[in-house]
Amino acid sequence: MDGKMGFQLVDTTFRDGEQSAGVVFSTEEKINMAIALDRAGVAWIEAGTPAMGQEEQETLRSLLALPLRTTLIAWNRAELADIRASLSCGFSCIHISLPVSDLHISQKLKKDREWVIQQLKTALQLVQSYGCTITVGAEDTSRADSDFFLKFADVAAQYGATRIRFADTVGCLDPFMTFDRLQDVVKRCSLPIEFHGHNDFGLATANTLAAFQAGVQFASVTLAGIGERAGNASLEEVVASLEKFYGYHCGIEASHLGSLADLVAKASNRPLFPYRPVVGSVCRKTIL
Amino acid sequence: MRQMVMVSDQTINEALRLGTSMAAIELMIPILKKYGIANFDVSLDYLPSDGVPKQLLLHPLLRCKIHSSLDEIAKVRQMGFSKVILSWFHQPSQSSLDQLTEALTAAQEFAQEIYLCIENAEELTIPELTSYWSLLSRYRVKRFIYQDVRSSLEPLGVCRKLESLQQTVPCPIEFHGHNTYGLATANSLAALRSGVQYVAAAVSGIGSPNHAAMEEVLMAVKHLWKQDQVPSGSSLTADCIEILSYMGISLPVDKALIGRDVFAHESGIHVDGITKNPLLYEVIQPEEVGQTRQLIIGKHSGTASLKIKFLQWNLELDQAEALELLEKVRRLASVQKRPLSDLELHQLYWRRNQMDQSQLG
Repeated sequence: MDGKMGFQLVDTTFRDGEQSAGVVFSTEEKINMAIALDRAGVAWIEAGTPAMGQEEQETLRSLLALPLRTTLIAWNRAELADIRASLSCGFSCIHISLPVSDLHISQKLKKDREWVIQQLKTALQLVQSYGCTITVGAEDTSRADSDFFLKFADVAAQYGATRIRFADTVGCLDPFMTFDRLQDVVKRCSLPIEFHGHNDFGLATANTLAAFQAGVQFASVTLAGIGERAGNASLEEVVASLEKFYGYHCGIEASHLGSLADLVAKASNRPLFPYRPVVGSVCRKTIL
Repeated sequence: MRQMVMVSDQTINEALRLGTSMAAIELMIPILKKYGIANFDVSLDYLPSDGVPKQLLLHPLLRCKIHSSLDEIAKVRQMGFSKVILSWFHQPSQSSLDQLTEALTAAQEFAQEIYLCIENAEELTIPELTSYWSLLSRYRVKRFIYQDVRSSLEPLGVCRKLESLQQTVPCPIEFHGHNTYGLATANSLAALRSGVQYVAAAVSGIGSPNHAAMEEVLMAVKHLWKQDQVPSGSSLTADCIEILSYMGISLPVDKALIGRDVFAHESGIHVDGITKNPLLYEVIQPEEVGQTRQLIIGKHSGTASLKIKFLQWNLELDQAEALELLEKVRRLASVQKRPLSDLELHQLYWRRNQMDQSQLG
């Protein structure tokens, strides 16, 4: 049940992390965190949403200008204007997100599954024409029909996407559900899968490890687990757990975890809970 | 998998470790009792040297955890405890269990209930663990506590190991996980899934080393596994905050289920969705844990959020107005590095309208 070799983390502190209510990072803070993430060995950073406006785009251009080894990704809805904003910033790695659960499709978009597929094709055609690296996000996959997710992934693959994000958007999975579900879809999916967990019941890290064991190749994380509502899977917990439980080094140096968490705690004005796993003061002395 | 979930509380023990007053601890106990607490565990190490109030000592759910030594057994006997957890750290080099046997014999003389806890149970092989089974039977140990003191387990492993052990162990198992790697809640769920009924937990996972978060375990069972015998969570947030306040502990704003901001929505996409149907972005309704939904206006807001916010004040924004205001909102939020208060939002809106009026005039 070991995860596939090559399992990598995608840091989304600047996108899903900053989206948590009340958090705003300055450009300088993002630059400092991006450099620190890069030095720690993070290979992918979801840098933000260019469609948010001119100021955000200026920040993103500053990040793109940094001499980083990591790949910066722009997050987009499957709307042409959003994608054009990302292209004009200079991004060469573009993420396109659309929901795949019937709940989201019918009640949020007021559309149907066929519309979702068409919208995905239209968006991907545009990105493909610019020769960008494409990643696709399937919002609310945990509450979606697996066969529709697989069909969605097939379309993404046909139009050049390099991976598909399986999002547990509301954090409604436990590790056993995650393992069973992903073990099934990993075998049948035409693209490598990225697991994106949320922490509504405190299970995001455990679910991410279950996804690793089920054979997914990527996982979304944020520094100190910052993110919408109760947050995302925490980079520190996932990195430390991968090494502790599976002896797997994902390329991120554990010795950087404490200082990375301190950076985000300061920038978000959210001091680290002393009892926080890995980086809280009660645990840090034990394992870092 | 339909079963009761009983919690061995570790919150009171952390309160003792932190030096919280006995008066405050006595206030905490009835609040915790609302949540399926089977026992309150206290370590002899943390009990105050100037004596424990009789009322607390005689509490029917109190268990005292001691190292398996005759000296400590004599102390708890003298103090008047009737429920004792003998804690034991298995070492491969130690061939004899004489010390533990002596301790069990001494405990049997006075204790109404004896529990045996192997702190590093996870590190033991099945034959090593099985070697304790005869002691459990001989001394009528009420439950065997399988502790993972070094946080060495992940959920799939917990389930596998405990399923296997339950086939041979002569008494019920209790699982005591720790949270150094962020897996204690998941590990406790895994233990419950394996058929174990008793798990150790503390409010918000506090403790040194830290534990599974009581509220996460209970609400995951209730809402993810749809088990309705778990206590109601409608006063959960207030109860947890009150308990922690007696210890001077403030919760992180994003603490799962009970943090101040876990039902606060700012990003445009989320607010738009929540307005159409809260289930789109909330796994449970905030009322189910005693919280309320909040709409935050900040850097990640969209025009839909602004329209909704202003409609709450009976002001209708058209798309052009919302777009214009949104740009100012985002700029101000970025400059002040926080969301806008209602007052600041009002000021932005009225200042713009006053400018329009003066330009018209």
